[in-house]
Amino acid sequence: MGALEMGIAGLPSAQVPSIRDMQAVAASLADAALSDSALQLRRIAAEMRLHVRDIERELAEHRRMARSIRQIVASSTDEEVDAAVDELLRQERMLREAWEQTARLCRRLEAKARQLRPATYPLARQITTTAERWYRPYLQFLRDLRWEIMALQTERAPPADGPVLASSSDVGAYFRKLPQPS
Amino acid sequence: MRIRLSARFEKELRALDGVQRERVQRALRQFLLEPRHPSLHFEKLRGHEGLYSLRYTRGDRIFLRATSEADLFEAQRLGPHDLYDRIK
Repeated sequence: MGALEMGIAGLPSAQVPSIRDMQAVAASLADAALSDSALQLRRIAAEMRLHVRDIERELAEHRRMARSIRQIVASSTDEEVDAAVDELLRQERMLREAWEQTARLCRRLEAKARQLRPATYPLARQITTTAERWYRPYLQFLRDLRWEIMALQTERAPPADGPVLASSSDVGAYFRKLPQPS
Repeated sequence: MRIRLSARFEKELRALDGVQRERVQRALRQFLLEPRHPSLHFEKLRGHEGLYSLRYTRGDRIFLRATSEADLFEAQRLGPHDLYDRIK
């Protein structure tokens, strides 16, 4: 089994724990959006701050391991690299979905706080900004790592031996001949 | 400027839907006419000698590799670059 099958740069091949945490917090946000309890907002804000600290630690560890990605890719087969790229992309998509859901809920919370209990609005804003600190660096990390792996794989790819397109009409002719998308 | 397609690129291209293919086609045409056109965001990949990326949608890129012939690039692969960018 190659290194990549065991997880790219230490990322588990199943679910990144932080993504699961994010989904759990999104569920809390959904509950909070149904009530206007300042206490509940405070609890969520505190919980999110803790998650951010966990994520920062987790990311620092991943980044440390990602420094040896060149060696890991060099000792892996193309199939292993492809599987790792697919897995990273899957995680990015999951994380993006969780982020979109959270962002939607944050907006609802803010709107509700502004309308019903203006005193809780700063708390709702705090939740939004903490959520942003949480998701963005993780998404960027997954994206950068995937992109780096793809670049390393492309560096060692054999020379291309397909058709050469030299003009706009060559491009048009090539695309016209492609089989229809399924 | 000329572009030689790799087997991987052709395979990935065939997997795209019609709309995406159209965008790739437009980007390749533009690249052959004017590689530095701002819409293409044609740029070197930092830390990777001879590798470049070319934008065909806001979040998708084509990987190009330079060859020993100055006017010939290889289109090596394509795919999503930036899911992050799409939610900003």
